[in-house]
Amino acid sequence: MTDDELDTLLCAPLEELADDGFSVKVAARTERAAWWRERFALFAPVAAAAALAPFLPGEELTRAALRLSPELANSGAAAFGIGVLVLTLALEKRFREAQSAL
Amino acid sequence: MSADAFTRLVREHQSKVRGFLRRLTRGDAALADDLAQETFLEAHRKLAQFRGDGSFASWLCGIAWSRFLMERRKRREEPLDQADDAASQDPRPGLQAKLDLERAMARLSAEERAALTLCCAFGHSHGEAADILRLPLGTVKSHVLRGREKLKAMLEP
Repeated sequence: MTDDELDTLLCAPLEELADDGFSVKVAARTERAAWWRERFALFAPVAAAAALAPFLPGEELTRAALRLSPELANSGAAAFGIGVLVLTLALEKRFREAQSAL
Repeated sequence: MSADAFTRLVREHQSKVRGFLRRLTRGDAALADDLAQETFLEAHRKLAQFRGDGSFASWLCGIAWSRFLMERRKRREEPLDQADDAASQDPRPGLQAKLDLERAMARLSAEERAALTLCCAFGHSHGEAADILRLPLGTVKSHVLRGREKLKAMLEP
C-alpha cells in the first residue's frame, strides 16, 4: 500500500451515525441529573445541620437567644439588617429564575 | 442554557463523539454510546468552564478521551486474537478496505488510534490533538507517525 492510498483511507471522514434517539436519551439523563443536583444543593445544608444538631450546646444557645431577642426586637439597625438580608435572598432567587429562563 | 438548546448541541455533535469513541473502544458500539452519554452529561455540568479557545467539538472530544481513559483504567484492554482478525469479509472493494482499516486500527494502542483519528479523519492539527489528548506535542506526532507505519505494515497485501 502506498502512502497516498493509506492517507486516502485514513483521512476519509468517519461514517455519519444516525441520532436514533440518542439525543433524547441524553436530554432525559441531563434533566434527571440536574434535578438531583438541585435537590442535593437544597437538602445538603439541612442534612448537615441536622447531623450537627445533637452536638450543639443547646442550653447556651437558648440562653443567648433569650438575652438577644428583646434587644433585637427593640433595635432599628437589626431590623434594617434583617430586612436587607431577606430582600437580597428574594432578589437573588428571582435573578436565578430569570437567568435559567433565558 | 435551555434544555432544548442543549439537545440541539447533542444532536449536532453526537455523530463525531460517538464515532471517535467507537474507534477508541475498537468498535464496541454499546460501550462507546455509554461513554458518549457520560461525555455529554459531563459537558452539560461543566458548560460554564468551556472557554471557547478551541471548537466545542474539540472540547467534547477532550471530555470523551478522559472518559475513555477512566473506563480503560476500570477494565484492561484485552488483546485481539487472530479469530477477530479474520472476521467479516465484505465483497465490496471500498467497504472491504474500510473494514481492513478498522481491523488494523484495533491493533494499535489507544493513544495511536486517538491521535490518528483526530489528525486524519477529523483534520485537527497536531497541536489541537495534543490539547484534546492532553499530551505533549512531540508525543502526539510520534503516535501519528508510529501508528501510520504500523497500519501500513498491517495493510500490506
